[in-house]
Parts: sequence; structure tokens; C-alpha cells
Amino acid sequence: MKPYLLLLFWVCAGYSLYSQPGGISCYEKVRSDGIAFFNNKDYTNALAQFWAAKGCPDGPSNNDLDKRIKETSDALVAELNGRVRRAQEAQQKAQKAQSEAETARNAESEARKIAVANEKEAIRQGRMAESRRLALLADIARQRGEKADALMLSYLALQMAEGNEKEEIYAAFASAVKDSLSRILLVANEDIQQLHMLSGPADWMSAQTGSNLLLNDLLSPGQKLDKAQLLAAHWLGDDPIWVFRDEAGTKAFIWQPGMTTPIPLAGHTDRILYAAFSPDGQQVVTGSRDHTARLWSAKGNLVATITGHKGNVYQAAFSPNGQQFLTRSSDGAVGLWDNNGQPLGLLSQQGVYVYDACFSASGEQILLATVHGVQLWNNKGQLLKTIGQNSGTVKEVLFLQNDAVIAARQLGTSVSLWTISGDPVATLNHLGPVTGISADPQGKTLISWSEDQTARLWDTSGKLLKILSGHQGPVIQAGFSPDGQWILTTSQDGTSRLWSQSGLRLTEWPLGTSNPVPGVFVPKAGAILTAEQNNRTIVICPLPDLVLRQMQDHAGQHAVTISALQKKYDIRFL
Amino acid sequence: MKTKIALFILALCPMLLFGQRWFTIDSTSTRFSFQVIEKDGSLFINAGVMPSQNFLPITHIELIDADLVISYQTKGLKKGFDFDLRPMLLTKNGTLIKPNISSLKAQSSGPESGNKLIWMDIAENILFPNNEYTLVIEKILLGNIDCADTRPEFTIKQQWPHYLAAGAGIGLIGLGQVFRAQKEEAYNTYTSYWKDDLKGIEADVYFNRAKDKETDMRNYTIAGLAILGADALVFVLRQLNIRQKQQMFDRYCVNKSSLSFDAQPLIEFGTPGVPGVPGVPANLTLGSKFILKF
Repeated sequence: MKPYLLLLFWVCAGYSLYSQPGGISCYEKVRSDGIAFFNNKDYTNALAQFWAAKGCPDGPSNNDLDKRIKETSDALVAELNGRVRRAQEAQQKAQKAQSEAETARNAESEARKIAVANEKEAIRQGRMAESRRLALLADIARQRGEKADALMLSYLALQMAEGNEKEEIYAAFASAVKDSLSRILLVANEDIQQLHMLSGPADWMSAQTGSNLLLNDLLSPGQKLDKAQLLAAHWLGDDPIWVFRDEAGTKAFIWQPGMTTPIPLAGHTDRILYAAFSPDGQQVVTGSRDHTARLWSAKGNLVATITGHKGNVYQAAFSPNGQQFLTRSSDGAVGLWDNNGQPLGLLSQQGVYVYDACFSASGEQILLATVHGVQLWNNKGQLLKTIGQNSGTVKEVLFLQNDAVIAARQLGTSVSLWTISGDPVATLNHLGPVTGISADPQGKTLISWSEDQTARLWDTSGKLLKILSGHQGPVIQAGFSPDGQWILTTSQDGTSRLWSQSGLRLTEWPLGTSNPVPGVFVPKAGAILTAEQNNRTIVICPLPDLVLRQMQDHAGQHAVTISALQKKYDIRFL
Repeated sequence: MKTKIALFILALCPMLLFGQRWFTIDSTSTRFSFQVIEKDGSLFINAGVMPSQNFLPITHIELIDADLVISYQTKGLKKGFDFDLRPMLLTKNGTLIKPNISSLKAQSSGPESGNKLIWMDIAENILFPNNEYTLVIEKILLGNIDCADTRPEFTIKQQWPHYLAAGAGIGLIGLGQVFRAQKEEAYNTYTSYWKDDLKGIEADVYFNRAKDKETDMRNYTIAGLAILGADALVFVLRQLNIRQKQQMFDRYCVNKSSLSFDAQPLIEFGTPGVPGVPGVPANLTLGSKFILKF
């Protein structure tokens, strides 16, 4: 629009100049101005001048104005095109610059993010390194006997640790707990041969020495029963009840705290080998070398004498509902009886030696470990299935996974898993003879231990979960804690070791003997009992998890101690 | 009365000098390889023929009620000796299992038969069917001489308590004689009172004193003689005992070839034929029994 206004202006101007009498030729002047504008590359004005010149009345008829107008128009178009192009280029450059600026902003943001992440990672790494350093310092302090420092340093290390490394740091904490908080429960006059824990309304420990039975509720000095050997322990309501035999082994006795004299269970004529309580503790059955078993009430009254076995009665077990019990004898027979002592059936009629027998959790099935595999019976005395008949001698059997899977420890280096219907699941192998198996409380994880110096964790599909290695001698006992969170192993190398559920070794107890007594868990108190110092001293040690919870619950109380430790050990990243 | 009891105890003192301790005179071991088999739900031992043995021969081994019953004879065991049987079980993989003392039971009814050593409940945890085992029974001859010690002698140190006791006995007899003299003196005084016609309390005093002294004299003399006699008897018995020990020492410790039983000569290096157990099996016949164990 603007060029046309200018053109109009110059036409008018030309006309006015032309209309003035006696002036310069309109045509010449306007044309020469136009040429001057053209030469100055002011094509718009040049074009206007040429158009104006064309309007001058004094212009010649054969003028070059059309040519110049075209030339100027072309030049103007060319210039305008050039501008447009440059504008486009400028726009492109601007866009590019914008894009680059955006990229730069993004890069900056990313760089900030990376920097923040790096800082966090650096802090994390720093905390981990500090955590490991503190764990190491805790170990050193522990070895120096600075137990309080060791405990607090390992606690701080654990607080700093993250992820998988937390478990490893936990080992330092567990060792510090063991060293700092273990206490002697009792000192025996003779070697302790066995530790047993009765858990329920309270914790009651039984320690069997050569001739005495020491009973202790972990709170009071406890009691000593002279010339007594523990056979079984149970709860009768809220009170503990024990059955023990005398030195000769032919008399059993019932004992409860507060009794002045034990109640004799007299009747067996040869050594009593076994005793088992009913689930409610109201009955107890004893098996003897005199080829009989005897059923007694908890008050010591003889309910029934179980005859019919032709060999020593080595084992007895009540069904989970207490309505039945079985007796296993060296004559190769397993007797099934009701809780009045009336016979219900004789299992293992095929005449095979039986090494172990157990009820299922439902009580409806009975497993027998025999010389020729496993036999599955129902509780009516009918043989349901013979499993692994050609797999050789089975020494021990267990039900797993709500009675769905059977675990059978064979003589030799393997454990076999079968489904309840007899289908093989897996064969679990050790490198040496397997000496025992047990399951976690849920029946989902099996632990086997062996002379190959390891214990191994398996799931019920037979997958090897973890090898608990590190013992320097055959493992003689292994077991889960009642909550399934911990594993305790004892080896002939003279140590007991505590492991996490995932199989990480946490700490160990040097027992100071080549004939170690397996340690036991104390469920209610959340502790572990071990027989140490050549089996003369019983030591109780709290589980690390319990101590950790208590320390976390009372974190505020440790502020002064932590502050002092921070200075003493130059602790960072706290 | 108290004096009498004290003197009686004193007279028994020489008996305390006797003491009986048992020492290992010699030992031998017998091995039986066997297999455990199962039949009709019970376990049995397939032992084969027992090797010939001259000392405490094992006549039979069997599994009864999951117990390992080892029958043996005690013929040939001389008076003054005792024995000890120590069973051990060697598994095929070289593990040596020793029984707990509480799992061993002995039955005896005569030297020729009826002697049994029972390893209780062995089939429950140790012996398993279709496995081979070697029962190693260490037979130990016990006597009351210690071959590791010097030749028994009745030393002055051992004799002086006897001399002390004899001295005490003689002292008591001497004391009895003193009381006798005092008794006679009191009695003579008493009779002199009678001769002088002085009756009454004064004379009775001397009579009673004479009676007391006579009692003391009797007690001390008897005690002295008892101590002397008992001491002499014990001295002689000990002397004889020592001589017997010396003879046994000379026979069993100095010249071992004259042992009363025919021991199996054996030198064992490691456990022969056991995988994983280093050692070279070697049997060496010697004039007398000799065991080296590693």
C-alpha cells in the first residue's frame, strides 16, 4: 500500500510542477529523479518518479519510461524477493537459535538433574563407604573388647547401609550384639549334653547334663532334678510339664514347677526310650525296651499298656487332634491306637524295618520311612501308596507345603521330594551324607544338613535357594526359628552359626568344644541359647532384630553417645 | 569304750596301706566284617565265620531288637587279671564310631558261655541294611601292675608306716606293762593294808586302783598286740603282693613273649582300603603283640 501512496504523491507533485509556468521540464526532472532513485537502489521512489514522469504532459511520446518502469519493477521485485529470502533466512536462523537455546536449556536441566543425581549417588556411595568403615571399626572395637562402641558403631553402620549391602552390614551388627549383650544364664557342674526349649506362654529351657536335668524359665535361678534324663516336655494349660526318666531308665516321672516330688510313672521293666505328649498335654505315651508302650494321664495314672510289639518301642507320636497315636518298634511294625489305648491298626504289615513315622498336619495321613522307600497310610490303617520303593533306605520323613509334598532323607547324600500322589519332584543332593532335614514353620522351605560341612535351603519344587557354607566340620544340626526368619546351624567344628532367612551368615558362637551341643532359639524372648566353654556354660544372646528394633525405638536416647562417637571416629554422612 | 574304738581304728590303719589299681598290661584287637540284611521287617547280621582267637574269644555277633549282641568267652583269663572289651564300628567310608558308655550293657553268667556285651539301639542310628561294616573289638588285659612304671619294690618309704605302726603297737604293749606294774603296786599296797589290819576305805581305794590299772593294762596290751599283729600281717601280705607284682612285672613287662594269650601281631598304618584316608596297610608278625596306630 505504501508504495502506491508514494506513487500517488509523486504523480500529484509532478502534475503541480508541470502546471507551474516557466519551470523545469516536468518530464526531465521527474525522470532524472527517478533515475537518481534507481541508481540509489531506491526502487520504490524510482518507480514512483517514472510513473510520475509518465504523467508529465511534456514528456516525449517515445520515452523509455515503460522500460524503466519494468526495469525498476523487476529490480524492486528482485529486491523484495531478496528481502523475503533474507527474512526467511533470518527466521530460520532465529528458529535455529531458538532450537539451540531450547536444547541448551534442556541440556542444562539434564545437567542439573545429573548433577543432583550424582550428588545423591556420591552421598549414597559415601554413606555406603562410611557404613562399611563403621562396620569395620565395629569389628575392631569388638575385638578390642570395646563392646558398647562396637554395638553403636555397627548400629550406625546399619542405619547408613542400603540395599543388598544392608544384609552384609547386618552381620557386623549381629556379631556386636552377640559380643555385647550375651549373658551367662547358668553354669553347670558337668557337661551339658542337650539343650531343649519349651515355648508357649513362657520360655522354659531344659539342659541335660550327664546325670541332672536343669530347668530354667530364664527369669529365676531354676531347678535341678538329680539323676534325671529328659524324655519330653509340653504345656498343660499355662504350665509346663516334663517327663523324665531316672538314671537306670526304667522309671519315668512327671514334673511340674511347684511340685515337691515328681509323679512316678512306674510299670516299664526295661529302659524307657521315648515319650510323647498329646497336643493338649493331658496324656503322655512312653515307649520302652520292654516291648511295650504305656499311655498315662498327665496326673500319672496308667491309662493303657500297649502290648503287641515284638521289639523295642523307639518312637511314639500323637495325631494333631490328639485322638490317635502311633508307636514304632524295632520289630518293623508301627501300631496305631486311639487315645484310650485301643488298637486301630498295625501299619507296615509288609514287614519292612521302619525308621521314622509321622502324622500329616491334617492327621489323616501317616508317613513311614522304611528300608524300602516311603509308605503312605491313612489314619484308618490302610496303606495308600508306597513311594520310591527302589530308592533305598529312608531314614527320615516330613510333610511339606500343607501335606502336598513329602520330603524323605535317604541314607547317603540325597533327599527326595515327592508329591503326595507319589510323583517325583526332585532329588536334592549334598556332597556328603545328609544327616538331617527340617522345614520352616510354613512348610515352604526345607533345610538339609550334611557331613559335607554345609546346610542347604531348598524350596518345595526342589530348587536350591542357598548353600550355607563356612563350617569347618560336619553340620550336626540346623533349624529355623519359630518365625522362620532365622536359621541356626551347629557343626562339629565347635561353632554354632546364625544365618538370615536368605542364607547370609550373620554371626557365630565358638563353643569351645569338639563335642558341641546344638543351640536353640528362645521364641518369646527373641534370643538364642548356646552351650559354651566346653559345654559347661549356657549363654543367652538376643536376636539382632530385636535389639535393632529396641535401638530404633529409643533412638533419641542415643543422641549423646552418637555425638561422642561421631567425634571419636570422625563419622561422616550421618 | 571310746578308747577301745580309737584303738580298733588305729589297728585298722595298716589295712589302708593296701590299694588296688588296674593297669593295661596288653591289648589286642579283633575285627569282624559283616553285612546288615533285612528280612521280614527285622535286621540281621551276616557275619560269616568267626576268626580263631585265644584271648577272650568272640564266639558270636548278632542283631537282636536293634541291639548288637557280642558273645564272648573269658576262659584263659588268669587269676589276678581283669579285662576290658571296647567295641568300635568302622563304616565303609572309613568313619570310626565309638559307642557311648550309656549305650553299652554287659551280661555275664560264666567264663565259657553267656558273656555278652550289648551295644544297645545300634540299628536305629548306626547300622543300616545292605551296608558293610567292620566291628573292631579292642581287648584289653588288665592287671595291677603298671608296665610304664618301674619294677615294683617294697621301698623304705612304703615300709616306714609299718615300722611306725609296729612302734605304736610295742609302745602300747609297753604302756600296758607300766599299767601292770602300777596295778601290782596298788594291789600290794592293798594286801599290805590287810596284813597291817587296816581295813576300811583306805584299803578299798588301792583295790579299786589296782582294778583300773589292770583294765588299762589289758586294753593297752591287747591293742598293742592287735596293732602289732595286724601290722605284721599287712606287712607280710604287702611283701607277698609286691613279690607277686614283681613276678608279674618280670613276666609281662620285661619279657613280653611269655604273655598268656596269643595276640594277633599287627601294625596298622592308617585305615587300609578306606578311600580318602591316607595310609598303607601293613601287617607285621612279631614275637609279641605290638600295635601302632595313626
